[in-house]
Amino acid sequence: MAGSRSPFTNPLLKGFDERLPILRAVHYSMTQHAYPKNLNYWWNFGSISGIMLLVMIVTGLFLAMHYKPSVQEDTYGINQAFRSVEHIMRDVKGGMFLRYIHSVGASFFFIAVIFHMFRSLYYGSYKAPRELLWILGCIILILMMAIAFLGYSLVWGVMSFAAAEVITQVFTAIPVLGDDILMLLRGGEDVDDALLNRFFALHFLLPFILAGVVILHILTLQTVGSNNPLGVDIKSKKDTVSFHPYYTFKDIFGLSVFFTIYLAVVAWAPERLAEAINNQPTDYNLPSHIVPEWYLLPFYAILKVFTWDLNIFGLVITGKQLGALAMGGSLGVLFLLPWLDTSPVRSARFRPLYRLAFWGFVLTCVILALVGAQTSGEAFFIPTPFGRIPLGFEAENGFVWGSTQQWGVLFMLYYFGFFIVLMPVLGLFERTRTLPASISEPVLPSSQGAGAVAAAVAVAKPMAKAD
Amino acid sequence: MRFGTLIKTLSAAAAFMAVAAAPAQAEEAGPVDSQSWTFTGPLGHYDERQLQRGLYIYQTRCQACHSLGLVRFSSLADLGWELLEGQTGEDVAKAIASNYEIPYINDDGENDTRPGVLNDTFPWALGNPKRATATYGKAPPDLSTMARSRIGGADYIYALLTGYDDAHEQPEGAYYNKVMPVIAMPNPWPADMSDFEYPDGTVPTLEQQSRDVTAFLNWAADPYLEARHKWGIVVVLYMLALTIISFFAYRIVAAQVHSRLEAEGGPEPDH
Ligand code: HEC
Ligand code: HEM
Repeated sequence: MAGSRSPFTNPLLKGFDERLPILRAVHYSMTQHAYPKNLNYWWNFGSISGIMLLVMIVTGLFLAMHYKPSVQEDTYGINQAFRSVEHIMRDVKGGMFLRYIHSVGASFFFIAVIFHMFRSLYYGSYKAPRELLWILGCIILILMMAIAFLGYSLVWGVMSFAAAEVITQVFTAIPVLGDDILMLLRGGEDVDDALLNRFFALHFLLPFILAGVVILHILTLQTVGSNNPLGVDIKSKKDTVSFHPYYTFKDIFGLSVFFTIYLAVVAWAPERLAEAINNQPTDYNLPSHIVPEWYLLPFYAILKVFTWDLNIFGLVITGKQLGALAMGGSLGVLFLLPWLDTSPVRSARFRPLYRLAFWGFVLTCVILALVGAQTSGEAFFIPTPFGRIPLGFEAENGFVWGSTQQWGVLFMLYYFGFFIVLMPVLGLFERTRTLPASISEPVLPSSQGAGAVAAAVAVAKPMAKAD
Repeated sequence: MRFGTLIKTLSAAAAFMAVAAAPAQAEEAGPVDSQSWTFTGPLGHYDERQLQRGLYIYQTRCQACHSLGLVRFSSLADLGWELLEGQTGEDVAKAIASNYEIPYINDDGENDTRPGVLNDTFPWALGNPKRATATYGKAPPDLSTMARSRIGGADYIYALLTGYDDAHEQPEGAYYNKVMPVIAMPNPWPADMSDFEYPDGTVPTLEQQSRDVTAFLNWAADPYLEARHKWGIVVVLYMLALTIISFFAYRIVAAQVHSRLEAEGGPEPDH
């Protein structure tokens, strides 16, 4: 809390604040905290994510008032959980909006957080002193993935069942304890009532834990301060503005744009991002092609590309275990990022090679998502609105060159290579461009080489650029 | 990065997801051509006459095997019926409901049936999944959400209904369909439909009937589509207005902050 005296003059506010000084905390953080003045639109996604979390909690609460976690089937062969979701859509006043705002909201929540994370990656926001901020962000991401998976299961459609079945199975890859963990997750041997009930309980609980982590995330941010597109530290008051009114207004504008798109999708394409087959109640058969929600696809790809066993001097690690390890590793490696990156320069604007590596990483995530969505043994292709671009073919002897699985392995290697090899190595050998002296004062073109001129031009008048 | 770049990135991401969302499955299914429907597009709405005809086709050709276990008779009240003096849509729905026999357990504890009421849903003539499976090898699925549970939606159902070819050789108990080459559902269209008529006089070609029942099934799966589209128009216009206002508000604030920064070289805590 920035100040010890209440800043309010209104007797009611003042009286309240002197007894419980939370108002002043908000007040000071909005008006006294110094934010870099050059934050660009990529910095909007933090507040957008926060609002999306609120939207999810509020709509989720009302959905929970009508939802029934029961797998019991009626004479139509429709289970009660599925029926209660349809009941919300058909019989509850405003229920269809409630449900679609929640289900489309999950996708948009992920869109916001994904942009937010790529922003951090591009501008080096994870480096000292923001390591903890980044780690809390990674915890947020993992919690979100867990929550989304649990929520998806609640519908108890064809794909809900498949997801619950397949993902709980992954835990049996853990040696010795695997089966017990499976029992604990499922509440029994099978995927049925006990599982659905505990998934509901967890799906209700975890968002509040997530909210707690988000508060820690924001408190950490207030302590270490925001990074900025130049990645240089704040040098003087000249470099900064207070959050309010500048960033409050900028955030409201960003939110408006985001919500326009989000609500348009709710109105006209509420199920465009979902798997159609999940609108059918499960009959407990696994569908021939299992796919998770789009935001889990890259991780699902890493889970499923291992089709062989590894034999290290007689110690056999099965493909399933390798997949589980790799998927865990693909999330775990994010936590180590602040220490894997050896470059002292934060922003990719001054790191030409890292910038290339970064876009390679973005491409990798896209390709892995496609791998996750396609069938392992078949020829890989890129879907476009004008048809498919094939990236593989079946040879005469039946061997598939460029199969989904092969592309998956290739890009999985880049995924890990990006963090484990490129991050440390680039930092040591890359020739970075000259950094500006401060946010307000760009480097002087005259005394520097050609690269510096370009950089100086790029950063001149950062405030104007941010507009 | 400028706002333009951001918008470009956002729309590229949206386009990518739209394309990537449904990749591999389409492969297994046969060709599904897109049709023109009244209910697609920003102002898409249902043609009530068509829904009435679709209901009629559902009743004559589908409900011997299928159910609509999530569709209440009361929802038929809004189907735009031509009403007699003093009659309401609800009366029509009630009359339709009372034509159905709903199984229940009577006061003596025995299995019995009673006429349907508004609150009931379309029953399943086959009774339960086990009997249905025993009869057809595969249980005919409930059609309440069918139009939402197949890639292609209405286009898929239309393609399926028009995709039968009885000339194809098939094993016992299976039939040939362009969309689903081995299907347990027999061709729902009798070879001779020359004496079939629509109550409203529409020419009952196979395509017409398929189209009507498909529209009806789309309504059954998504009954509040029109409400959602209207809501969308209002909400998006509102949000666009808010976007424009907040943009100019932001620009004004930005200009003020900027000039204050120039003058004072630092932020002002303001109250
Ligand atoms: C004689 C019984 C019977 C009749 C009549 C019938 N169906 Fe079916 N239907 C089935 C069976 C059995 C299946 C399951 C097919 C399978 O999965 O192989 C099925 C499946 C379907 C499917 C799902 C196909 C898929 O993608 O899995 C749709 C859609 C469908 N029917 C629509 C209709 C419509 C519309 C009508 C009326 C015009 C109709 N059916 C009439 C028995 C019937
Ligand atoms: C529930 C999801 C999240 C919420 C609500 C949230 C909220 C915020 C907010 C409001 C900010 C400040 C504004 C901004 O810089 O954009 C912020 C900053 C930050 N967030 Fe998050 N965040 C979330 C998820 C994540 C994730 C998943 C990560 C990465 C693993 C992450 C990493 C960061 C970092 C590094 C910063 C500092 C940014 C900088 O100043 O450069 N956040 N977050």
